[in-house]
Amino acid sequence: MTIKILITALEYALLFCICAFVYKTMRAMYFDIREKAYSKNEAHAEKKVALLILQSYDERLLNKRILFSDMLTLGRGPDNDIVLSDAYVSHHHAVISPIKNQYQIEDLHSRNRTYVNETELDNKIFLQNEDIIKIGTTIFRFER
Amino acid sequence: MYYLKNKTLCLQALLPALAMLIFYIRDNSVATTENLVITTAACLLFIAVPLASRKFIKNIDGYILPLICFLCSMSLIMMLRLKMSLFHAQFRWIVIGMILMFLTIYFSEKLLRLLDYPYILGLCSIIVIGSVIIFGTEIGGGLNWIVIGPFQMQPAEFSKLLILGFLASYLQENQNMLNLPNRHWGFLYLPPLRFFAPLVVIWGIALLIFVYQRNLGFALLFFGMAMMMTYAVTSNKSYIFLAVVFFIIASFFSYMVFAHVRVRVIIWLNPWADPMGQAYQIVQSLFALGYGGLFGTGFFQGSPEIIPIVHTDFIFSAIGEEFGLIGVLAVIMTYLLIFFRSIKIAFSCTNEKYKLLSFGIAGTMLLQSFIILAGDTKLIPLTGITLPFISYGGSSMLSEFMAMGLLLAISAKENYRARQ
Repeated sequence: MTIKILITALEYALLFCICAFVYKTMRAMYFDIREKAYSKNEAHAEKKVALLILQSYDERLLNKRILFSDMLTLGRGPDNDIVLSDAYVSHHHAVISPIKNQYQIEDLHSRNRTYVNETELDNKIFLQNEDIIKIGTTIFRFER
Repeated sequence: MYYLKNKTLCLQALLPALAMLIFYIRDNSVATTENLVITTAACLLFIAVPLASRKFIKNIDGYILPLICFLCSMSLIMMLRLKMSLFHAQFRWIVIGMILMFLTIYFSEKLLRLLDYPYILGLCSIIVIGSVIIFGTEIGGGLNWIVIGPFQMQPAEFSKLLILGFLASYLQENQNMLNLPNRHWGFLYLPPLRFFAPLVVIWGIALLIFVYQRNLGFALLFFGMAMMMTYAVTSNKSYIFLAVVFFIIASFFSYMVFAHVRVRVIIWLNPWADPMGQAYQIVQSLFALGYGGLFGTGFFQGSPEIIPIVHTDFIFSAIGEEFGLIGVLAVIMTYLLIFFRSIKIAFSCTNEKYKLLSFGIAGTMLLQSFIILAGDTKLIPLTGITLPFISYGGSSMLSEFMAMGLLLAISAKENYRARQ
């Protein structure tokens, strides 16, 4: 009788081992992938986006690539990240800020407006890859 | 690493020990020195191999080897239960396979360089398959075996690897040609015939030899492999359409011509017409699976040994009877997990040939297990083929281990490159 119980118990132990192995492996793989996915996200956030200058008042700025990853301010004032000494640009013209995985451009009530893809920017908008931004006489292309 | 923290590594090695304990309690005479030594060695091996590979081979994939060890330990305990003599033999094959796998990883640089010569690989595979016609011996209604001294081997198993290499390198080299559809036949977009003629010729000869040898399982496997790889390279559905049309014609033709194909199909359509005669095997397999139910009858409680040749083709039914639906799902899940990890390796490859080869290895393993599982459960007509890593069989074990060795070598290489 005891032997019978023992055998049954061992049989269930065997089945349990099989299930536990598959479960644990799946769990480990899941955590492994999750960890990797999150670390990749951080890497993605660190990865820089760029503004490529397509057209400008200054010949020397042409085809320059400006890499950045956090907030970037544009305007005529010397405290901006990108100083555009162009008569059509306001002192604090526009700002590009990262929001989660995306980048948002906001017009700071500039006199001559900011244009994204030929349309007038109404307050703020999320930037997509290859968007054309026009500030004063300078034209940028947003790249990510 | 997560799996070390959670102690999963010991679980696959516990299986042979537990099984041996159950066997011993039922029958004291089984505890001979030889059996005990083999069981201990198996337990140690299944712990040591994943650990050692992680330690000595840099950047290797950490999950595939424990999963393979799990399948091998399932194989060992089923052998122990079904036939004691095969238990020893199977353990020997597993050890040789693992040694071969590490050798493959060690020499992978040289082996993978062979991928630059697709036609040599293609010709070799035809020679290997064809050698059976000349030197082969007929065992069990199919001419697939070469007997050398005490060993029997099935060269077709090894040709699988060669033809995978051929397909990977040929398709990659001609990728642009195949993707260049300049012939329209109705809704089909195909490149000129001369670009895929070598592929069709080599693959067609292989297929014809298999049909001649009555090795239907391998014919089906090779057909699926070629279709899978071509579609993976070109993503052109015209090839799938052509393959399906060809498949329908070929199966109809072989149904009319070959008596053994007709028998298989008749058994598949209605096994209850002759349950004690020709359909005995499949009927017993279905009974075994049904009798197993959800939790199975328990190890040693069922009677899977009444299914003829249960240790190769029908080992799945034996697992189904003794471990039930849960055990069966665990086995299928393990195959899927290996496939998943392999596909992950394939995605990370930058070298297109390695990418295709690792996809091919993974896909072939999954396709092979599908063909035999579907045959066992009467989803498709039964074709005799081994269940990778579980069925008894030296050739199949060795070739599977070699394939996995290549896969692991590729993964180590790509991870190393990614870390740079």
